Amino acid sequence: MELPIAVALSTLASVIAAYAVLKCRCALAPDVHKPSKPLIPKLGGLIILAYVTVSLALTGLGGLGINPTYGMVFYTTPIVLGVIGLVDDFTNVHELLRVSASVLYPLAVLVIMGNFDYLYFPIIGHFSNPIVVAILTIAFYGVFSNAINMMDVVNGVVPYSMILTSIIPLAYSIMTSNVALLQMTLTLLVPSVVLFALNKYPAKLFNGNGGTYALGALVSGLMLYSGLGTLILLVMVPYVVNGLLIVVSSRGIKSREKLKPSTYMNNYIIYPNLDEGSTLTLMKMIVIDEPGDESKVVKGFYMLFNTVAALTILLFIVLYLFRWV
Amino acid sequence: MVKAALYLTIASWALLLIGIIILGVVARILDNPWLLVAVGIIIVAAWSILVYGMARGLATKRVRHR
Repeated sequence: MELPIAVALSTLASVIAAYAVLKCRCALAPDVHKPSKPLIPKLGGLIILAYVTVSLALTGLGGLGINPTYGMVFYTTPIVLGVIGLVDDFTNVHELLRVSASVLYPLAVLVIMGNFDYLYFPIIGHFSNPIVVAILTIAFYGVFSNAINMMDVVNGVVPYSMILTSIIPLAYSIMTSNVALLQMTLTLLVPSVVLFALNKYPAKLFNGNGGTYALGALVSGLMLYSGLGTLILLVMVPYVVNGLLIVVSSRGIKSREKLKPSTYMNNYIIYPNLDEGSTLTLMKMIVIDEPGDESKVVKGFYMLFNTVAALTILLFIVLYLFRWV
Repeated sequence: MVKAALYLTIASWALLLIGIIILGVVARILDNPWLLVAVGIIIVAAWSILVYGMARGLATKRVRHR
């Protein structure tokens, strides 16, 4: 099927999914940062799952124009992790099981399908050794599917950052007429735009674990298979920093409920938790200079992502002019 | 408002770019994927120590100011 038709139908599917979730009002969670603590549906993951599933069903792996093994990893991992996340939204899935799935599923697909191709990262170069490709796959999927989940603490930040992350691959796919890369980028960009429309402050819909795991898997795949991995990694720096701070300060991978809070709220103003042993996060770093309400924290996160995206776009222009991408 | 977080993010971005450039140079010199993986792990470890240390330092400094 032609790409514009597939994109239009997949977009329609994600919009219908959004409408259904808003109408159903199931799996509700309180928005704790708002004075009225409104109950918000946390099934944003269905928007991503609807887009990816319909897109894959319409084009099929053969029509993607990339290595079939990598296509299988790119399109099916978000579905698998998204479903695990949705289950987690209803009943708690153990954190080790979630982390294991994010690592073992893409690895299993690689091993079963075989047919490894090289991976290219600007500035660094090519990787063609199958074991190195497998190690990189484990590292990217393991880190980013969980790092995005860790950042989903205030309205709108995750889908907004995904839109910024899509700018460079979108521009590059148009400049080089690379249809496969364009389709991969749109698979991240379009559902992120739909999600952002509903998740931006003040949120009508939460991403939920289903949404954050699926987005994490999509962005990991884009890093590995777009040929622009280094640049996408640089736009994702706030996620890496936040994940590093949480894992090191809390001494290991723990579920959100088991972490000692990094911030606390008083009259809906968010303050840093200065207690000994409290978790260090990027949100704590944002409010440590001046506490503020949720909208101020959201603006702080936007500023961080805008800054790294602008720096990386400048780097991309330099690399493109010197023909290093 | 976000001075500490912005400083940490920009410094982490710059340090990561330096690490990537070092990895790129090593890749061109060594041409051995296993040595490259080893150098990559060392760079990631060094980057993590620097960024975490910087974050702790910034947080402690801001707390003392308050």
